[in-house]
Amino acid sequence: MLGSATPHPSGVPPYDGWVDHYLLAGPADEPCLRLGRTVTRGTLLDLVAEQQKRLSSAGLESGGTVALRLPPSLTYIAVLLAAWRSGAQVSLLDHRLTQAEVDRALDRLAPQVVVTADRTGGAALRGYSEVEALCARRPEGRPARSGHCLIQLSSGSTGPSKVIARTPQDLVRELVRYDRLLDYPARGARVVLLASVVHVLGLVGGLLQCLHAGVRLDFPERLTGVGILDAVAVDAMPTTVLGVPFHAELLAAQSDTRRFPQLTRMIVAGELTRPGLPAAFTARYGVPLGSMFGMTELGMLATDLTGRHHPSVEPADGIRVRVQDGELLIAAAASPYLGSADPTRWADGWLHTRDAATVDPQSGLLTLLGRLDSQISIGGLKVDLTEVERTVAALPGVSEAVVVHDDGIDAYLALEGTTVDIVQASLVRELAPYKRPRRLHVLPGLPRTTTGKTLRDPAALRRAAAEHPAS
Amino acid sequence: MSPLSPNGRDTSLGRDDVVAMLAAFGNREPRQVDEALGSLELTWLITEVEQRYGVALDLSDEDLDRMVTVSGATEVLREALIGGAGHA
Repeated sequence: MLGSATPHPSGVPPYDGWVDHYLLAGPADEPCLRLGRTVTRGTLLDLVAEQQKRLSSAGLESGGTVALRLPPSLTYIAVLLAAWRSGAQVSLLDHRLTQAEVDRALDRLAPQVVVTADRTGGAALRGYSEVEALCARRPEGRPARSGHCLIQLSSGSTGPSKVIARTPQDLVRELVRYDRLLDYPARGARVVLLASVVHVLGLVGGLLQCLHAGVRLDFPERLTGVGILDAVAVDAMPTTVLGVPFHAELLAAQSDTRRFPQLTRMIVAGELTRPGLPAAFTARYGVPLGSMFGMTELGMLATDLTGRHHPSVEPADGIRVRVQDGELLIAAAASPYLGSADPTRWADGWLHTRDAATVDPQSGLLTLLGRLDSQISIGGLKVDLTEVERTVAALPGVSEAVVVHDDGIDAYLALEGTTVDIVQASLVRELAPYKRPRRLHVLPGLPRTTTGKTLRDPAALRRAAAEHPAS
Repeated sequence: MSPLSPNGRDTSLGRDDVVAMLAAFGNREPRQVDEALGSLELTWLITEVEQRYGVALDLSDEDLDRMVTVSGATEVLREALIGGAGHA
């Protein structure tokens, strides 16, 4: 039996032993991961035990809190499992966040221990990194105040980002939903993971489910088209590629003449798939491009793994959905958010997704139509334009700012006593690369409606920028 | 004459080639390709170059940091192809 005998500070007992029972159980000599080299369950268990000792030396106890800021790596996996196995609450921070973003997150989450990599960089276009973990104690950190094991920050449509919390029971329920998908990889198969292991698709659909189901999880050395296909070709085991639609675009355009008889299917999630992409992918590889729909808050919710329902998806076992005023609502017994309750996000057992959708009354199939708020997706990574706009507008010398998505993130600005180069340099410090505006357009003043509201129509903003080409 | 890499491959790569490869991302016209490069476009471009030239490009973080514009990317890719930063 795992878990501490000491009382849990939150008063909510942790789901003792869930990591060993649901994730680490299995033959010690069974290969479970491949990051350049194959890692067996026995080796992984040793690595997890080693990291548990290090976390304990840093002062982490059951009911404690730890934030992980690590690139995808064997170290990340071992530390995550070690922290959970110790009964700690883990916050995941994307390694691409800037120091300013991390500092804000740490102020808010108040973890007792922060785990970082011994070196940064070198991760771009790589499927995994080789890093050592550095554990630092934060004396001002606070122990867990709830029984949640996983904390993630999400882009909220308004206000600061939401703190999303999940319990071990909730994660296990998601694993059971994956178990019930007939076409999801099972023991004897493997998954080549392209999605980030810090976010819900790669974390639960990739890492946790593969450990749980005895599926080998492979990380490609390089995330280019050739790199991904090299990872597929490395073994003859039935192979599923898991990524975001961009990865499918990349693969569909490959002229690599190799054949991949081991490829069973590719599954994408994170954003809508372009019409025509599933057909192009199948024409190239002779296997389906399946899709899934999920949310950080609740995990995987609906799937179409065979591609036969495209663009619709079928709600997973136990998931109840309905559409109200065009918005998709998902049944959720409790609010997935920590902190102050927001009745516009969760109320009366229903989570408001901010996704526009329809549900077919006969088949129950769900069709996602797009977002109802300012959240966009860049290669599967969620970006809240409101957050970007607030960050830009808060920079010294920026008197007005509007940020829109117009084939890339565009910022329209009015400046006083600063230059566009200074603004650009400040944004590098403030925002992770995928959130940064690709183009900064400086105008003498932002165009407004007759009632004085700032115009947000991309075409009108483009026209205004065209009148001031020097900027 | 086209420059050749140490392994004898044709390594000529111009701005127009880069724009043409980027235009294939999202089926755009070359004139629709913006000077600023996003991370997805960069991944697409490197994939296209690796495919066309039959190399695996081992680019450093410093190289990638310079590849935020079409001009910067063209420069880095040209250097990589000629200088042998890429390997077959």
